[in-house]
Amino acid sequence: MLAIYYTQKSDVMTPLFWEWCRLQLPATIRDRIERKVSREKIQTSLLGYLLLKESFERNGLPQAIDMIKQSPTGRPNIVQDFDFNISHSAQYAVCAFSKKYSIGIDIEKIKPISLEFLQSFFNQDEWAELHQNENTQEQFYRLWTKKEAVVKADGRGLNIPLKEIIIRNNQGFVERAKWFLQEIPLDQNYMMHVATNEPISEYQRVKISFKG
Amino acid sequence: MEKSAVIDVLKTQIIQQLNLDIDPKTVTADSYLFGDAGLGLDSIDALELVVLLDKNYDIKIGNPEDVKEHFKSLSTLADYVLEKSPVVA
Repeated sequence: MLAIYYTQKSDVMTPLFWEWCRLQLPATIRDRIERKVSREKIQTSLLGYLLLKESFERNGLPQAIDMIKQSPTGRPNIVQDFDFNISHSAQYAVCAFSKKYSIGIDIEKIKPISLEFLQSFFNQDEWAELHQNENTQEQFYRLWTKKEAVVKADGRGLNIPLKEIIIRNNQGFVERAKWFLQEIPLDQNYMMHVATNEPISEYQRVKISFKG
Repeated sequence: MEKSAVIDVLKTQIIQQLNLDIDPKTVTADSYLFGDAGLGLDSIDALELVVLLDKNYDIKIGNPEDVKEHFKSLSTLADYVLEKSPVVA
């Protein structure tokens, strides 16, 4: 089973609420998050880790939040028989959790981007496909979140040259590894994909509202 | 242009272009642009920076791997601009 937990930031969240969020997390995670200089990014990171804590608790793993380590490439992980991955963009934080699959998730807000300057970042086929589509911007975010989900599932981060991740429909290939991609609809202004090491038959999408 | 001036201009342009809620005073030449610490930019922000360098400095990044090497901090980015840009002397 694969669960996608998500939460949305709102303008009514008060300084007291954010302080409550901080205090839910172990100091090691808190310190890591607060090394950022942007308040907005700190807030969405806090929500991402709160979702992770929530997903651990819902899956009978209340102590797991204290055991998180970072891989040399910065991917938070635990050497256990489950996997998780966090992503955030603008107002949303999401956390994928599974006891069965290796996973990577990526969400991006769809905002205009000047693709004409970015041709060198795509393979020939990808570039052609982007421009065959009526909605090039949306197609770009579709491709990009697929690649990012694969990069995050793989775990080596930016050590993989982006052009070496090949996307064919809903499969992603990195060297000899193959990942299965699923688009997760959430909000028409966002694009989200999850990559798993096996095809998924079903997933749960769970909205979490933190009240503090 | 002095490197410190390039850093100041880049800092302003990045904060504006990426619409960041960041006080420029909290960002130093060596603050990380990506990852957990510093500005905490993401991969789409990296593409926005590529566009910014092209539009403002006429720098075309032909090899995406250059991004990893030169986009570490404002300092490394300023070095790259000073080396590559035909419009910054």
